[in-house]
Amino acid sequence: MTSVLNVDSIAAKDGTSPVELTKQSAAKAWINFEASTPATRDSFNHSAITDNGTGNFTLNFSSAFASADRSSTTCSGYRTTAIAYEMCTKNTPTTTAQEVWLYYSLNGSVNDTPGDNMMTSQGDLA
Amino acid sequence: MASILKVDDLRGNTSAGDITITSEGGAATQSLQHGLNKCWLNFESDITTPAIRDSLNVSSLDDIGTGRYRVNYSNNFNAAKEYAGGGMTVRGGNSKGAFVALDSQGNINFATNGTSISVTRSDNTLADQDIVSMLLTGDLA
Repeated sequence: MTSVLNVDSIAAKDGTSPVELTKQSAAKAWINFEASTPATRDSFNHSAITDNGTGNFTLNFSSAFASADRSSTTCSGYRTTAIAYEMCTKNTPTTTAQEVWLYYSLNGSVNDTPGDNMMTSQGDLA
Repeated sequence: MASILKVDDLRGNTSAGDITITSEGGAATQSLQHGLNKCWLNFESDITTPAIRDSLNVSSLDDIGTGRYRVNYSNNFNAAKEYAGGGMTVRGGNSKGAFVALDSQGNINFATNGTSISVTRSDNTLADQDIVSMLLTGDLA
């Protein structure tokens, strides 16, 4: 017989510590945004985007990570008939934000063209 | 002694799709469902017919052309373009490094039931690769 548990919140047995997901891990933040405005389409654990200039943004987290040494994966832009765009993370992550750059993959020029830009972050929260 | 709860199906009580968990450091609470990976895929494309090695929530993979594919989901996302993805490739034996991006020339682009992706090499050409992987997060329907 299938067992079903209905619950609003899960914590460790002390009532406050985080519960362990056996051999599993959940993403702690993700965002989908378009670059020209910029504007967030949807997100989880992200606050407002900081526009630093053409092709350069700071993606801020609502709840801070415990360490800047998290894993962030990106997927950016799109492939047209002729060209593709990439988004990469800058090597200065903090616990509260991640700076990213958008660029044209062939020559590395920065731009705000890509309409679909995404980042997912994994790690422990503070 | 550690307590272990064994259960087959976990649901929110107030809302079936919303269970709150505490952060590792105890400073925040988050939704468990929002953070779970909803789709991942590892496939080989430098062969005649692209072959899925392993996946979650992927029903099929269509070969649109060199370096271009459509990924079809088993369970739909709740809204088009409102989920996030990341991808990577490992170069094949004769290939250069490459990356995964959405494909505006494909038949769908981040729709609720699937998406078109492309693999572009560092010289800006489309390419089939030995290992192509993709990870999606967001909300399912």
